[in-house]
Amino acid sequence: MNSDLKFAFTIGTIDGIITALMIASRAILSNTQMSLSLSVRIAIGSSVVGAASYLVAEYGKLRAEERLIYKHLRPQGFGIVRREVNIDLFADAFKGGGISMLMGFVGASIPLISYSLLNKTPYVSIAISYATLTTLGIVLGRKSGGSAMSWSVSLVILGLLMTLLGYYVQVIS
Amino acid sequence: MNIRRLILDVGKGLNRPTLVELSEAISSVKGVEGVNISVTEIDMETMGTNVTIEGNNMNFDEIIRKIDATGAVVHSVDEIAAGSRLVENIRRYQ
Repeated sequence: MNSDLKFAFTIGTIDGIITALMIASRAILSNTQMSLSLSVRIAIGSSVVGAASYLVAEYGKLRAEERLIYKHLRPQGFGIVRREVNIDLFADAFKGGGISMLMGFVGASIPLISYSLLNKTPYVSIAISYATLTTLGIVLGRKSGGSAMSWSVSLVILGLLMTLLGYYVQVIS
Repeated sequence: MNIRRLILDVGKGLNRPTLVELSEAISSVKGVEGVNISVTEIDMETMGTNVTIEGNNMNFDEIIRKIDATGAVVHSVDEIAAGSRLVENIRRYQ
């Protein structure tokens, strides 16, 4: 997997978990009944939104980079990216968007579906979400040559903030 | 005209197209029998290459079009050899 796809994988997973925590933490912590169908629908919604944002941002970034390079290579030209290259750029952004969507669904499912299936054990699903963020933090920390501890703690704090925000915003109660 | 060898100065972005993609694009042109791409310079965003292409009855316009389509840019044609016999460049001593 190249670095762009790894980025899509990471951002999708983290985005899925924290979005689900933000949307449903009030319901989870209040012990509200949440059907499996509702959990899946929230996970799908969250993953599609995340993927669309990723697609637009990534395509914009790739086009801007390509235009800059083209202007560098051909200073007298208009810096217009060729249609064939545009198609390749869109395909790359779309691939990343697809991975982001898939991992977004997986990430969002962690707190939501675990709560629906475990039924009225809110802290277990929240704990599973934080454990997943910790694991992701360790992996990211090691891969980036940084401190695994710092990365894990930072992601758990992020999860905690999203949980608190979701509790007070009450998207689903 | 039977173009048998072309030497081009081609610039491309560092990441895109890759050297493999560029050589595949050139090789796909009818008449091209071999491609050699050498990197001549690298900076923060771009890479300069020397592209040597050999074959028989190569279509010059199609080669340029294919290189352009990958996102690379042909800066100049440095050498062209055509005809029924391949003639090497002989330097003049001044």
